[in-house]
Amino acid sequence: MLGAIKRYLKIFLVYLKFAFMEQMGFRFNFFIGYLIDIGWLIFTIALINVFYSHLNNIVGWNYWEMLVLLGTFWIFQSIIYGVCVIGNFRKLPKMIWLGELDEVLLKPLNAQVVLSIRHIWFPIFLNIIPSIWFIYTGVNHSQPGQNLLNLISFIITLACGTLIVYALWFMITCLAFFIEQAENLPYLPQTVIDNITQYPIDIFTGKAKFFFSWIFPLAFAASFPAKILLKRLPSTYALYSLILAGAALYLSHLFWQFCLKHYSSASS
Amino acid sequence: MKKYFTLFKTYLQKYIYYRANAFIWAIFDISHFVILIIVWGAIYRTNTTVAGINYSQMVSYYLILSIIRELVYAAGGRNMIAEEIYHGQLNIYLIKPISYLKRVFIEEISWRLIQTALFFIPFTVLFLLVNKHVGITTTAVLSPLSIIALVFAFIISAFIDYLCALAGFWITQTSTLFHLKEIAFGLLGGLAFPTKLLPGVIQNINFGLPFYYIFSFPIEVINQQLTINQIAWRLIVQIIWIGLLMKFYQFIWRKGTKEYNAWGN
Repeated sequence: MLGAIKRYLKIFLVYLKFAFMEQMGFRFNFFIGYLIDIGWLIFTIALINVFYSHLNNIVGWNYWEMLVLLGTFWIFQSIIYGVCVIGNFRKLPKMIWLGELDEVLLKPLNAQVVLSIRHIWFPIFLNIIPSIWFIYTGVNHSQPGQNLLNLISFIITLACGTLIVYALWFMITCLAFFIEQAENLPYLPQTVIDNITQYPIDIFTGKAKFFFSWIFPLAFAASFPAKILLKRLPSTYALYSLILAGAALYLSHLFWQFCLKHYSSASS
Repeated sequence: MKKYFTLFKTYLQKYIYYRANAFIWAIFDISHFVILIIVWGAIYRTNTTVAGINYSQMVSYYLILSIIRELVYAAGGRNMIAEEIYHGQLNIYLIKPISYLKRVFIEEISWRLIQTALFFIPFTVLFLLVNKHVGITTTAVLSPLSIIALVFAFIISAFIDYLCALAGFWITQTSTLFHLKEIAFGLLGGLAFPTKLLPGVIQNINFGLPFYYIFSFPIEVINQQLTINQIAWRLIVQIIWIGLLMKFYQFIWRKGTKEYNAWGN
């Protein structure tokens, strides 16, 4: 198991290196790409500034706490979009539709992993820097004096939350095996995931809150990690996130295997 | 005129064929507004009004906005013009005896019609769920002034989108401009929140910009929040913007087609 993780980590680093080399070859495009990503980050900040100019808190979250949530959201967003969504998920339906998966399926590697990480979009990762600064500023204003356990729990929950969302997004994208010419399928979860994860999970109540916390657990992507950092949740949530991430990844693997049975190649 | 009608019919058939795609976009679009309504619902749990807007008005705002977005949010610049310039496929249209702009408009309208028709499926579900909070009357929606404001809004939105695409004559990465446009629509156009929430100074500046006239103004007309005088003045501003954008489009198009290079096709 550890050997496999090490192997795929190595492959990931190779893809990362290739992506960096390829994208730095077109520096202007790289710069433009970054401009777009930073533009959306500024948009989010402008949005909460407008909200908080009329409100003292949103469902119990003050401005600084919301900054921690947004910083966490942007780290999650940068990773999921940079690694999986932009260069990979958005291309997958067309590959399925045109019968172009053969090239990947024939490799002695896990095809699901390869199809999820082979085209990494680098510029978005630069958003992680201001995001860390948002978290730092927000925490300093609202909950200073962090301990190491809290910080580790935050990182574990954020990483697992990202994996959970990855698994859900991948499964939805795989529906392209059954829907003809649905190239925009990967965009379908985008609006739900983006909108739900950038707001506190407390906007929901009752069954909806339970659903997005434990059944379709988007709360683990940004809300729960931010709450851990703000000492509103115990560190044990890191443990729950590990279990849920494992279950979500396994489920996505099973679904991928099932979908492959419906794939017909175009003899590429 | 007949040739454009034939084009319209052809594009309509094409987009009916891609109805699964259109339906996915419809779900994509509505889910954005569903979540915004939920967010505002949570905010109104502890506040009776925000900037003088109560919950019922806010829900109505997003419901109307969701329909208006389907009707007037032009994307032909990004999906057609920018792609055709980038891939050198403009030749096909330049040598045909049809106006390129009219052809793009017709394709855009065909797509909008199919998209809006399919959008009504998830919209009806949402409407039934939040029905008790809504205060929109069908007479207000179908009033001639609302329809005129919507038609003008669509033309402004289309010209802004097409102008972003024409930048493709000089630069390869036009996507930045489209993203900037979306950010401007979100913050200044009222796509993310009612423009009344903006600080006073920005609101005043916004009245001079085209973005307010695409979403916020038609919503205010439908919601009967403006006097006849205010509507008349703002319709005039819409016409001025259409004129300015059209002239600018023609100027850029003339310059751009002189720069344009393509091989084959």
